Amino acid sequence: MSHILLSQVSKSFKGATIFENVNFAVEKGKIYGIIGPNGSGKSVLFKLICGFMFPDHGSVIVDGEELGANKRFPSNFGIIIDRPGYIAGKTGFDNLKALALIRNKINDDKIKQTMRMVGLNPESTQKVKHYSLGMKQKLAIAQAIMEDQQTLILDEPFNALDADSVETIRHLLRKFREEGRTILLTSHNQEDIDVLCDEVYRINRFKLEKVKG
Amino acid sequence: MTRTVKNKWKDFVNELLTFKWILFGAVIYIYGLRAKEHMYVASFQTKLLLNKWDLLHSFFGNIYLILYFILPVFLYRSISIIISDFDYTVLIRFGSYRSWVYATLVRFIQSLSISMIVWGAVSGVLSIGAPSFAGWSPFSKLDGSLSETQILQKFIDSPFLALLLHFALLILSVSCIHLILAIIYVKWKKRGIIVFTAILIWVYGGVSFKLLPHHSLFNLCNYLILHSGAVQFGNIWGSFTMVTGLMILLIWMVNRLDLNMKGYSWRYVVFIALIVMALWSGMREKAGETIWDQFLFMFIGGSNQAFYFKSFLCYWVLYFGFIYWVQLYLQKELSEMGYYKLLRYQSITRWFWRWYHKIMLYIGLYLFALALLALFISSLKRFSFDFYVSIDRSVTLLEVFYHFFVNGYLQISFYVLFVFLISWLSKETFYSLVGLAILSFFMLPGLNNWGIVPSGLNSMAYLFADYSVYRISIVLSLWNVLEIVFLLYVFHKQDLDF
Repeated sequence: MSHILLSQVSKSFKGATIFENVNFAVEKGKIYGIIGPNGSGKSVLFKLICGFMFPDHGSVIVDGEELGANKRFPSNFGIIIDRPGYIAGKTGFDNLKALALIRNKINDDKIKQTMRMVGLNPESTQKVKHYSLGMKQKLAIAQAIMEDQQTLILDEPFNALDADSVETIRHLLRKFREEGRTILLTSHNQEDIDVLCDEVYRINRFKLEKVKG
Repeated sequence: MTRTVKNKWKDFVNELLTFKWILFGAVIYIYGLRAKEHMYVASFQTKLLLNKWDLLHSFFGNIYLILYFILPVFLYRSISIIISDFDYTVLIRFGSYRSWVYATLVRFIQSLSISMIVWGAVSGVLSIGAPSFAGWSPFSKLDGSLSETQILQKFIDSPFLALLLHFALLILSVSCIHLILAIIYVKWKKRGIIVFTAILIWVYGGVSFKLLPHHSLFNLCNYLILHSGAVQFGNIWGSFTMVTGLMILLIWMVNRLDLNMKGYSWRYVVFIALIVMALWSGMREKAGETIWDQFLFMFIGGSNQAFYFKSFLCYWVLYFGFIYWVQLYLQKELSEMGYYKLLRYQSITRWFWRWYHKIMLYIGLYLFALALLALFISSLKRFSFDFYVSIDRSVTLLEVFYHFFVNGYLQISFYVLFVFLISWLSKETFYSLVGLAILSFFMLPGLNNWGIVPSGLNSMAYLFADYSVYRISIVLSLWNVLEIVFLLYVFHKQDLDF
């Protein structure tokens, strides 16, 4: 059984078609790359998979359950979609803590460990409003992985990162794959896609076209 | 666990000491001083002693304070919580919109409890010096309505219980308002819409308090303030029953937020339900004999000589409700608009006429459907089918039909063009709703004495006013022509930018 299954999915926005009868199956333990020009629907695809949007036709099934039938958002997903809305007047740690308290599954040490993993200093008193773009991006990655989420949906995770940080995150993602986690990502940098992804799909003419794997 | 509790307590204290709550307390203090003075004057005049309960009930149950200060503060907190908490990273952790809505409700109630603490502390300070607590005071036992306690002591034995019940009602009601705003935000995800709704609720509270009779079911005060509700229902449970009923309905709606209802739009159902409610509540069973009398009452609206708030609300639902749908349709059309489309139409004017042609058809169909529904509803109440208007024999059925269909058509057409014009010029359809709200103010008494402002001129109330229905047609036709001329001018003068 596929971990994520899109069956005959169609979606249009204000009259403009984004997807038409798309079929897409995601297996566990692989990294999937989604590529396509700006506005082709990469973020829309991720929002459909996460249940933030419903398809006009067709269904999105995660672990055998159709989104919108009994459950809305899939469990154990870590996501970066659009820019997360941080509390600007709080530190990075406080922001992650506020998110972690929703499920209350992890303690402060785990948050700090994750921050270090992505290259942030958890003891820093710097408020998020003073963070650089790259630091905000690292914080976004940290919130997506800190609760050991088994499926990661990452829209442009390498945006604004310097070369060293890109390498760190790539290494981290490879490690997650080895642990059996599933990752879907988009990137405008072809190299990220080439070195990381087991399967690559391009959005072309409202469909997902397999280009690698 | 202890650390979490400690952190939460620390956050709570930090929040309590923020400037906004200190300001909140200061406003209540200033207002409380005046209320205290007023109470002492009343006690002196009646020569009856009051006690601390009279003052506390006065501070906590003051209609003006709640309506014009507490309610907007709560609405602001509700909106800020909803907007700040709506984020994909937060939503995915909650797992559903339902859990998210309830989480925002918990945060809202936490915020309420802070305000209650501040409110309570200030009230405690203000009641220093008053005779101590000892049940209802001699002043409150006076058979009058000079104070909150004089009303409440007729229904409840204990002033403490009365205060608790008042808080319970207030919290329950504002929680309902929060749920309404949260549901709206989940459905539309637009800040403008919940801000507009919140303003509407606040304005409605003030208007219903000022214009509706105190015993009216539609008076918002009856659901925010216990003594006001007790007067309306003749007991303390009526308000609770109504608010609890609304809460159950809202919970039912929240529980359905996460379902994918393909091909089903609950907005249509809500709109149709609102139309039926508006028509039904417009009937006056004790007046009139025929279905045509009821037809007049259902669409009575308001004129410069006759104004009823309930009729005004019904007019809003029936006509501005329709304009809301037109606006949605327009929004879709404008969002799809582009150079490629215009090239095919060859001119903007041609595109506009094609669009407007459809709208004209819809207006006719809508009026026809409304008329049929109104007659059907009044027939259920077994009114006579005889072809005359019994409440005013000078009004003929021809005039009724003419006014409803022709002037109704011209008036709706004016609203449509008005909405189009604002949307086109501002590129923001939300402003057209604000424009309509402003326009509807001219339906209030004294603001349209000459009947030349095109707002609510299709109200049936004009049949009983000093205006000829044919004069109204001329006025509305002129306005329509003026709008079209202005639109064509705008089309030719303005650059197109999509």
